[in-house]
Amino acid sequence: MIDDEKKSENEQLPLSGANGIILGQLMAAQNLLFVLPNKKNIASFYAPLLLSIPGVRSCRVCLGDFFSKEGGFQDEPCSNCPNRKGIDDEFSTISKDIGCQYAHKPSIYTISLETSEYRFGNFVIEIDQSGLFEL
Amino acid sequence: MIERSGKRYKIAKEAGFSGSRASGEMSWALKGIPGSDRILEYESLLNAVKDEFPHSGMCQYDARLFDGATLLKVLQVHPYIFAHGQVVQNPYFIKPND
Repeated sequence: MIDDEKKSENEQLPLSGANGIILGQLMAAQNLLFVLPNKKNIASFYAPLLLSIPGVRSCRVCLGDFFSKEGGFQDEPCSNCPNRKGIDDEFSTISKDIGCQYAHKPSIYTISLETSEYRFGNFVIEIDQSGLFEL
Repeated sequence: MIERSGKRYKIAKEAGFSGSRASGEMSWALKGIPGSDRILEYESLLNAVKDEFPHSGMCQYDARLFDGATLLKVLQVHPYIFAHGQVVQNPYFIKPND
């Protein structure tokens, strides 16, 4: 979907009407995680899914060496990310000591995918309508 | 394919069955068979004609073979999904007319 279409779609979708559908989709998405067999498939599934959320302009699903991006996300800084180790095993972790380079950029949210001990990657989301996220 | 599904349902009804069920293993769509690139259109059309032949169908997509982006598109044309062994309504489903 080109950015203009996405933007137009977001502008038309009322927040109150979108909540139930979007929450249902996010809950379903959690359940579907368990059928995706590897990080490559997980990244390519969740990137377009995140882009479908109203207010998301572009995004990058980062799982260490595997990533997928949608909406024209500009990810040049990621090429130098220390968490890219050239490991192609299916379920590796990344360092909790190395934060995402997008963490403090304006209009970008980073959500770490982690347990108390391990970090698996990040959702990096560029916000189109910040009002939708400041609830 | 759509037409044959209707005929199959009609034959089953005429034979005294209460309905028909179908199950498909979908990895054939990755083998380059002519027309297989229209698989999502086909799946969507099956939902559009369900009033004519209200059969139950289960499409089996091997998540090891299909990439994640395709699986997300597949979700959008199936009203129900299996999640943790249960059949549940699929919130990603987009009705054919929408």
